[in-house]
Amino acid sequence: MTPLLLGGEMPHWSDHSPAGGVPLRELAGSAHGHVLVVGPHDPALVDAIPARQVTVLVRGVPDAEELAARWVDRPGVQVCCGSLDKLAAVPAYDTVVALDGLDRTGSTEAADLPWPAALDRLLAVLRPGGRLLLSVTNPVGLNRLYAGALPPDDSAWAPFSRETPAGPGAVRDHLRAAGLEPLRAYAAYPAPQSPTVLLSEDALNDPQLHGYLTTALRRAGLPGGPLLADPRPLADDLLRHGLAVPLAPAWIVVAARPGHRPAPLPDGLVADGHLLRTPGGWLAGGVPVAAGECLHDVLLAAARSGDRPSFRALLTAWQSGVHADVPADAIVISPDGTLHAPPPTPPAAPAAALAAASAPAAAPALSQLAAAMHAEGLSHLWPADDIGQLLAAMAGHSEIPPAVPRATPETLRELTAAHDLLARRLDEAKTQLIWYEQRTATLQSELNRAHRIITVLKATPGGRAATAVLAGARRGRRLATAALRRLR
Amino acid sequence: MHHANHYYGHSYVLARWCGFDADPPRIQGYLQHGWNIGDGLAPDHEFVPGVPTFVWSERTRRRAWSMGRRDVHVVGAPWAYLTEMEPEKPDQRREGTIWYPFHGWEGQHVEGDHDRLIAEIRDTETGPVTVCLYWQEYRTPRVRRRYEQAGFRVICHGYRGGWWKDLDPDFLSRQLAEQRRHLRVASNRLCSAVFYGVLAGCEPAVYGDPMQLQGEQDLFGGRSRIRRQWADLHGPHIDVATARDIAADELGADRTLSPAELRHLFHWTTA
Repeated sequence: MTPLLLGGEMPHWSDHSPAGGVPLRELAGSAHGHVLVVGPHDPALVDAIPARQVTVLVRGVPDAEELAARWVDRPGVQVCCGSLDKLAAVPAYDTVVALDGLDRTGSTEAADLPWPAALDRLLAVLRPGGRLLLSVTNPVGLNRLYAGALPPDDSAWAPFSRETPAGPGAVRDHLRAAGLEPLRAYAAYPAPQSPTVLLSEDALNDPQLHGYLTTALRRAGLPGGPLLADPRPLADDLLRHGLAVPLAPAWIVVAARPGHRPAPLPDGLVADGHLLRTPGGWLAGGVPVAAGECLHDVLLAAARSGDRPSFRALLTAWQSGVHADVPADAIVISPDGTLHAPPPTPPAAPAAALAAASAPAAAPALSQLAAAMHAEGLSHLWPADDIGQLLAAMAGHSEIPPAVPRATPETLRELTAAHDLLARRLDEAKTQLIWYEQRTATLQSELNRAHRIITVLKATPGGRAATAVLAGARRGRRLATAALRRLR
Repeated sequence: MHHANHYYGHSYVLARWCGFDADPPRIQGYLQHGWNIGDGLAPDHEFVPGVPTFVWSERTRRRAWSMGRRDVHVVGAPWAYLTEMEPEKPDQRREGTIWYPFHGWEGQHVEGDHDRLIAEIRDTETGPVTVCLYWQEYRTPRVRRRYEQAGFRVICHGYRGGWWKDLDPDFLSRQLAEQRRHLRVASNRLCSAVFYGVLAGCEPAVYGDPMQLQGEQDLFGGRSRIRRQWADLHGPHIDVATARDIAADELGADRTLSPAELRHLFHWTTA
């Protein structure tokens, strides 16, 4: 198969980090009819589209050629190459998939389309009853607010459109004005291109789910690239203050033209599976979701408050139970103190894998908590250098895990905290050194004084007599020892 | 100063724009010296990282950025400055077509049928034809005679200049004056001369056997991409308004800088 060149294609260009991951792949699996996939997407995502006719549009010729070679034996897949503005405005598609957003659909060769105009191009090719799967990058997403300094990459030949809608509400308004019915809007975490968690606004606004969604957001992992701080500790506050949607790295919107065939959409796609609202309550991966709080946060709150008995009781209850090996950030604790853990899933979340990498084999969940306490600024609460060992002792483990070397700080905040800690330790060590030197000097002075007294005393008649007696005793001892040696 | 900055007297034109009467000072950077569909740099020229690049158009800047170049500035083509400094006289008389057969550069050889091209020119052009050859072909009697025997006037704008030798500050001025004597500008490939001609007020045309260089490699999509992306500029008769917009875009005629700004960019602080 040869890619169809639409115009505006870039002969030298290849897009890195295409949209992908399990939740987006599952969402793409809902596509039907003739499907158009616009922008860079992981080929595995396109493979997951069950439709027989799929057209893929990318802007880089090397990408297009690679995709064409991949699907050379898959009839019904057509690879096009060019900029979005060259796509014929003919309603030819039943589903349009733009889960990478619209920012990577233009090219150096074509004029940049403002965001609303680019979206209108997609809507123009959507048939009556057709469905749109669209990702919208949030310029004030948590990932961007916490992003460290990075030089602009090769794709930054032009700034992103300044006309990006402010929130999913504005996206819905635009879609409604274009005659579409918005079906669902998800907040996507932790990064726009490869979210591991998609959560609907309904789910995020339900207090019953607060604890569970905190665990979901905490387990979502870290956005890529250098970070100013780890955003995961904010999960609880984001939900409490209704900020999980406005600060989401991206919003995934599903909308359809009138006459679409109803197809159920989950309220969330998380590591445990689909999140669904049922008459009997919420289900995650088919398992009822317990109301409560995230154990990780409850533990940390107890630690911060200085309530050691509560902290110890929570720790012991967790570590002496069946969920001892489940990380605390995956457990919901009910008001009655019952712990609820999700069913085990084979692939570890990136964050868990990261923390587990430096954890010893014994009590990995406990070591993970210890690492998080360091990262979340609680290490000063205990005098021990290795909190993991202290937690194991507090939890009543008979086997104390070996000390874990401190991990290299990953974020600027951790780096600053580590620097400050080391600076304080150095100051303390200097103060101790000065104290020891002063103490040594005092002792030396006392010793000198004692020597002087001894010298003076030796010069007195009593002193001389005592010295003579002492010398005689020494001599007698030597003679006795020699006589004994001869007798043997 | 890269020696290519002097090609076609480009550095002299910009020095004149900036108020220098004598030889141009050293440009601290690499100046694009011909229209291309890549990053603006000649593929066979060495590029030193950290040295700024001065390109003609915004599109070239975007492309260069996407190819990893940084410190790329749009200054517009020297031709655009020249047409501003030497406006057309009101009584300028124009006649016929100035025709630029595709040529190779130093050390390159063009493979193609000149006779067939001559026939196509005869079939298309109604007025007198001036054929402008590159200096290599102009000095090759066999090629030159063919065009002369066809009844065309054969000229050469001159030598573009070598490694800081045989520089020609007036190259572009002569080319501009020559183009303004013609109603049309044409070539068998879309190239700088055609864009120049459009800015000089000629109606453009691109037609005929495009010929090819010996061992020519199609970089950045090559000839097929040029035909697709600039399809509006191909054919014996082209919409002049469209052509003017495209030429202004490609030559950065809308992006020329003031003398003060250009002096600052080039580190020309002595004027």
